[in-house]
Amino acid sequence: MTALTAAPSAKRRRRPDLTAPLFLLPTLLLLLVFVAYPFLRAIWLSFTDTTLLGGTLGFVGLDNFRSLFTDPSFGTYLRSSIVWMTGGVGLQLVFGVIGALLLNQRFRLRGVVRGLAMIPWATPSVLVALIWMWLLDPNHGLVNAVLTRVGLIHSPIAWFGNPHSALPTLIVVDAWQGIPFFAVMVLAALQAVPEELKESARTDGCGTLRVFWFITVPSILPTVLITLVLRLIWTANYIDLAYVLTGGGPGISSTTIPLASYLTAYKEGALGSGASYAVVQAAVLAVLVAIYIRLTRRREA
Amino acid sequence: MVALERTAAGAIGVRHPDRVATERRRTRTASMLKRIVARPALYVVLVLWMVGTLGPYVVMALTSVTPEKQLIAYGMSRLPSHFSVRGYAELFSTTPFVSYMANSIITALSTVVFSLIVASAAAISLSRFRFRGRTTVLTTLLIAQLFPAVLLVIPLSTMLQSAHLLDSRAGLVLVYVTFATPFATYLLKGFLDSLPRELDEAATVDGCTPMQMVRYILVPLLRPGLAAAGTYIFIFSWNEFLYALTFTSSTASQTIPVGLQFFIGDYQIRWDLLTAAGVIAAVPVLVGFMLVQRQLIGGLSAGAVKG
Amino acid sequence: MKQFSWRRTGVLSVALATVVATLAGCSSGTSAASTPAAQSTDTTGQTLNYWLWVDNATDQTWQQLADEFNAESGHGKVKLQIVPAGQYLDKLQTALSSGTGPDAARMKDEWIGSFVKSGVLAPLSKQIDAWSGKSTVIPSAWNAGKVPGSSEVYMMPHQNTALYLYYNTKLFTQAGLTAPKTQADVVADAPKLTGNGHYAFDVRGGAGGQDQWAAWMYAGGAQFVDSSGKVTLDNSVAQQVNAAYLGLVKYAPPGSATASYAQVLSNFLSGTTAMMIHHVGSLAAVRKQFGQDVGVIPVPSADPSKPSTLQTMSGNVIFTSSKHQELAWQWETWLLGNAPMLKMSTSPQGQLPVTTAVSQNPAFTKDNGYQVAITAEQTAQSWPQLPGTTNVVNATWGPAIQEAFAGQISSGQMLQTLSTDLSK
Repeated sequence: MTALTAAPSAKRRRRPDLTAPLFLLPTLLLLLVFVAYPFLRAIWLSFTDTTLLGGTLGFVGLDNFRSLFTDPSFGTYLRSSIVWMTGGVGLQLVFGVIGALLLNQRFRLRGVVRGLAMIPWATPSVLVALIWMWLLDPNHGLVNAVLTRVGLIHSPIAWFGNPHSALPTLIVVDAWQGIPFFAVMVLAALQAVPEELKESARTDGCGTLRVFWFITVPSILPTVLITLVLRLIWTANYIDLAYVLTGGGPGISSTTIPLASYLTAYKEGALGSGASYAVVQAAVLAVLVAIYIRLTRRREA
Repeated sequence: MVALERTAAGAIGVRHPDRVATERRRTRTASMLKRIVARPALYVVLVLWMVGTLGPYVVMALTSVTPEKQLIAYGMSRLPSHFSVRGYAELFSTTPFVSYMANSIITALSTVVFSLIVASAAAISLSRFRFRGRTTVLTTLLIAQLFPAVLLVIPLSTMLQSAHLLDSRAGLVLVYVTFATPFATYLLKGFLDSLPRELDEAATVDGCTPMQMVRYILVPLLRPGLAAAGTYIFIFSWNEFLYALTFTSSTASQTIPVGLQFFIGDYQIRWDLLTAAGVIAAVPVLVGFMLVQRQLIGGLSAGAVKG
Repeated sequence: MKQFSWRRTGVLSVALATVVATLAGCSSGTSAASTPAAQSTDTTGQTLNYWLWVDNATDQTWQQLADEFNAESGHGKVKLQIVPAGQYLDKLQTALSSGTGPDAARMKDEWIGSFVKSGVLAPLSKQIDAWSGKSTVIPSAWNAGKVPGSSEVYMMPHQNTALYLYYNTKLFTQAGLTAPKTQADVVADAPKLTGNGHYAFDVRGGAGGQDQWAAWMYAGGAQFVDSSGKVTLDNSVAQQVNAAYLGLVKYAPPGSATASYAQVLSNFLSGTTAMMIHHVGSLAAVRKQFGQDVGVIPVPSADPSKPSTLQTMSGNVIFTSSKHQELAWQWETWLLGNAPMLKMSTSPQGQLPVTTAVSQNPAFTKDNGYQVAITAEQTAQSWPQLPGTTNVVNATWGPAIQEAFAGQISSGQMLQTLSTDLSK
């Protein structure tokens, strides 16, 4: 460990410090190779009438966007997207934070409980979808059977078969799957809350709620914020559950923008038009990114 | 090394352990009463949570031991009349599930290792240095997550093909590292930001090079952050479906989410195989996280003192 | 801390990205345009990359067939790549458009319209006409590989299905009913079969439901296209038949408007529903559950003297981009030989054979389900192989009929939408 105590040479001090760019290099290289081109291509596609099998046909300018915005269904897609995104992530955030606070308590078998709490997050989406398909099945499902037995409902409910309940039900399934993710992120952030600060606040007579609000919240806020922003983006683009459980229906009541994008690109074969849906959504989400960056910049300044 | 740790701990103002203990004792008596009431409530809430979380998993587990005939008529929704382990036997004897499992574990673990290295480096750079273009990099990392994967698979396929990385675990790992790193970077950067800069300064005064500072001070203190980021990366790779489906074509590289799809045919859905695979697939994550969660303990001071 | 110029790096990055983009762009896109080169018939030493989906992950029939083919001398070898059934079409299209596609592949008749339009399928008529085995194939089977308005064949037939109706004899007897003969019978029987947790029929508005709907439409006398290839799905006959189908939703179990195969099968096997339109793909499961307590009859038609139903063919295609088209031809015709055809059709995932000799095999006379299906095959029709069919079958039929079930649009509006999408 002599290197630690050896005086740094004067020469090194003057040399430009390349640590920062060097440390960033791998990340930037990966993004450049695997993200830059596919992204630019997706944007380019949205200005063409490329088909999935037929290669590039031609530049059509804003035509795709024009037909997208004049499509009477677009309003429904947009509304579903917003409800899906905010509903799913909102539930995950609230219950994830509560879950993290619980898992941060000391109790017997805590390690086992923490592990078991991970299961919904660690189950592949197709299985999550199929399990819930059967649990919620109107004719043979457990949920309807229990609710009928208890007397809460008189006849079984087709959770995914009703345009009013399909999207909310999808949101609940999504939350079930996503709560552990939020819980782990917040749980980790809770470990960085300075214990001395909490202790001294308590000795100063602060109640549990005040300690939580004035000490814990500010300390976990950066983690919560970035988790929130990225979870919103991922959830916005997450179509696996809807594709298996409702196919976007009944009608188009649970079709979000990315699901419409996928169906247009892969089932209709209109890759260019499909890309334009994704570009519109990306533009909306980019606003979210901009707000986040501005917020954090102010905090860091 | 010892001297350095003391300096580091001292710099962030950790008080003498004895004094902390006395203070704790004082508050403990006061909160004793509260705890007697709060304890049962805590257990009730935990039990409710576990029922909600594990209920569907238990249904899946029961389905996996249900005789096939009952499954055809009722799907995953009835209590079995008697237990049958035929699904498990068939899963291991007639399907390449062991390969899927091995591929998933190797791919996910490799992704965790590479992504944590890449993301830690980036996080340190973004948290500890100020340079022109820093905000651009921060923005780019988020922008990289904006598009749905369905639109990216075609060009990515072409690129992996020309690099001869299609149908290989290496190709999958590269793609996964790319898409898992942005969040991991932000997460680790957040943890670094919460570690006081005095720490670095103390180290610099002691004559640490930046590399040594990272190795001996930041990484040890980052353990909760690394555990959380590692868990995220692992589960992301473990569950990822679309890239795995598109970029792999043989049992030498196919992962569990792809393997599960083979059990769903046009006219035959093998509930027994699907659920048996689902039950087994949860085990590595469960055990893995039970080990990793030990890092999610204790505050900053404990980490700094222990090193 | 020394500042590092990101501006310069930025310029460099863009330049690099452009290079990467150009390189990657070049290697794709050419696949669809290339023409088959003159090929010799000797394919020894070649390896064929053949894609397929299988219906049962534990069934080894396909691999055994490939092994038998590869053990023969005089031609090259085939390498199977199995793709999950649910993602088969997506993955195949992605692969073809990124230049990583196979030489030949298993295919459904309802998909070929869009593939033919894009020019990725090799025309096969010339080779078929010169092939000695042409007459062994049931003549109507060739139609599944044609697109409306052309006589060119793009798909070798392999396994066929013709939809029929199962009915639960116990539930029918309890209701004092006999097997329905006409669509009017079904409509009249439906209320009598509904009640006490039982329902008449799953209308299946979810994934895959378009096939049983199309069977009902064909049996009712509706025509999807006329002989010139013009879509006629919105005429008055079709509207009437469709309206009758939509009316059955009242006698369907809850959730039926969005149900898919798993729910529909479960409802029928558990006795929740009394009737189910499907095909021999479910025969084994139905027999396991009911034994002989289930009836198999043709899909009730409007006029019993003019029966019809839907048939869905899975066949084999050859891609124009392939360098092994001769070997692909050898493999696909080999599959039509007596022994391979019998083995496939009697396997756990087998359907109806497409060769005359094999369809007369005793294996298909033992169960009357097969006889009903083979008879129905003779008057069955396929989905029209239009460029828009893939979209209708996989994406737009579901929302349209779900809205019609809910009364948001009329039978006529639903058929109008589908006609527009089919003609796209």
